[in-house]
Amino acid sequence: MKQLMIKEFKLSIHKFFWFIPILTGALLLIPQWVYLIAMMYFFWITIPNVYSTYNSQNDLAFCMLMPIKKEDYVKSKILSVITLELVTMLFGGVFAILNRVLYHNTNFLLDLNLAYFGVVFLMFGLFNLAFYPIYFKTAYRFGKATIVGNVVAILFALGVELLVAFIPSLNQWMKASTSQELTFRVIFLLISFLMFAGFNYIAYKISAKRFERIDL
Amino acid sequence: MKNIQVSTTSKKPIYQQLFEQISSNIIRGDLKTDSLLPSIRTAAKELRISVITVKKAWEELEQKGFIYTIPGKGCFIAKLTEHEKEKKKEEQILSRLKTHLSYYKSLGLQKEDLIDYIKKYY
Amino acid sequence: MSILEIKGLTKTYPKFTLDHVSFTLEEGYIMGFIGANGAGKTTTLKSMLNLVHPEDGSVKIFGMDMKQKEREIKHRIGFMFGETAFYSKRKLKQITSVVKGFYQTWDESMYQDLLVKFDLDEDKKLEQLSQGMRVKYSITLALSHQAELLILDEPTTGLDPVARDELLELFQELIENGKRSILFSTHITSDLEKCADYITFIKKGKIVETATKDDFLDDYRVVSGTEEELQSIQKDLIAFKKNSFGFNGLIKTVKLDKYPEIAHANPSIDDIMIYYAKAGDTQ
Repeated sequence: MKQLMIKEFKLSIHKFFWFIPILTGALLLIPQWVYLIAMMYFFWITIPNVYSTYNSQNDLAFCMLMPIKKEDYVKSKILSVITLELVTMLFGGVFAILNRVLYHNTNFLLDLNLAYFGVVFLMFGLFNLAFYPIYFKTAYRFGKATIVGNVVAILFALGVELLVAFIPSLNQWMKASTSQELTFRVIFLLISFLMFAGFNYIAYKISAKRFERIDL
Repeated sequence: MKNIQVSTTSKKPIYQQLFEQISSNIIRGDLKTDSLLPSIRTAAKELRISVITVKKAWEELEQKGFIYTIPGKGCFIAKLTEHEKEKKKEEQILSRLKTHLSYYKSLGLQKEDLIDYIKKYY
Repeated sequence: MSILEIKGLTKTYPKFTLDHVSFTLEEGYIMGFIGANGAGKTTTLKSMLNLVHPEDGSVKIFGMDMKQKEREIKHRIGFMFGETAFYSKRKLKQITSVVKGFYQTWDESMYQDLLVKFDLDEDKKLEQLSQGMRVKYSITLALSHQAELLILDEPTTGLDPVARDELLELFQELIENGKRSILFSTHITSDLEKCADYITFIKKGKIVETATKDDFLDDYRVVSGTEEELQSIQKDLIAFKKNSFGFNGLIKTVKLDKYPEIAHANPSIDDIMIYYAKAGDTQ
């Protein structure tokens, strides 16, 4: 398993994709914006590029010649994307702090606070949950999986933004800065993280089962 | 291996070619008594033929008394007395002559005709 | 000892069936796996490696069941699949550094020796290598993790005659110690005339014959004769071709006794494959 991860980052995933999170993070410096969009660049740039590279480099054939379990192949694919998602969020965090320090004002839509990152965890988790089980029907075609993943993520983000904008109590919980709301947001972030982990686990289980059945 | 040449296009099985060439080398004395024959696998590699083919030729050589095996060391050229050499030579000549004679007979050649041919072309 | 034992491998596709494929390969020998394109060679090799899922049959390698000990077995074999190149834009150095991590049995000094022997430049990208050099690189990787069984799908396809000859010589060198076996598929039968010990011949998903090369060739004869002779022998022929002088055909040697008068000759592997292909057309 460890070797597969080394392979992912040494051979398969170009160093450039470590740089993208800095760019998407920097987007959070735009004042007054739909900040969830910044994180969506991950689905638009990183995912399709990484997955088309797997295909063009015959990554699957390469891995299948190595002494590995098939399920570990699935695991390595999900873990490498999780790694990149976490790095994306890490740089997001850095630029979010910078945003708060620079502008001091609040946003009409989601603010760049802990709740925002909770929502991002959920969005990434849902994307992975939609993407992987579809992708591992073939372990080759990533187009449909990417589109479905995007639709799910965008609908979710749209829903959250609309609810926060139009339900005053929810707006309060997500944005106000008394200690009560702060505690709520810490808990929300933790729960979101756990759900992100859960979504990935389910995605892995379904994907591994589907991948096992494919005739390569 | 010197002096050995097998042809994959010949009608004769390769193991037979090998057997004939090595045995005649032994009869002529080109391969010295008690000298080591290459291992089956080395011979196969060098001659670019199957291991199994070489094995068959070596077995045939051993069976006919041309070589002997010391387990773990390999195959060696057997000691043949002059008398044995003569006998084996005759055996070899006879076996080939038989097939040739049946061909000449099928062409309707008489013994005398054949001798004439031999005198003319040998 | 059987290094490889395949029994009753069966796999059904909509337009093709791999039908109870069985054969074995002993330690220390080279087996050529032949058949026309689409006969089921690659499917057989893939089922052997658990890449496709046969409905029936078993694959045992080193005496272990492939389904149960896949990882252990894969540690001890080396593969190469046709002309598929992976990570061809990467330098050999980078690929090797990843591959060796997968094997506890990696022998670095052997790897270095083989690089020298095959004249492989680690700083070259895979795509810069000729097909022959790529095969050698694959073999280098396999030998460096001390593979005891090499499974090679069409290793000679795309090689010029010189490179092909070199490779076949290498195959024989690899089995010289009697511990390693090679199974390779090909449709270039002259490859087999030179180095194969065993031949397994597959046609339309079924094994026609699996035997030592000598027995395989010995089992068939090419016969020729007049149209009249064809009348009597036709039912025993595997296939035949008519020409202006009469006919040529392929027959099993055991059936030849019935026709003492007929002219016959030894077939090449090509002859056998071609007549079998014709047999398929007339059936």
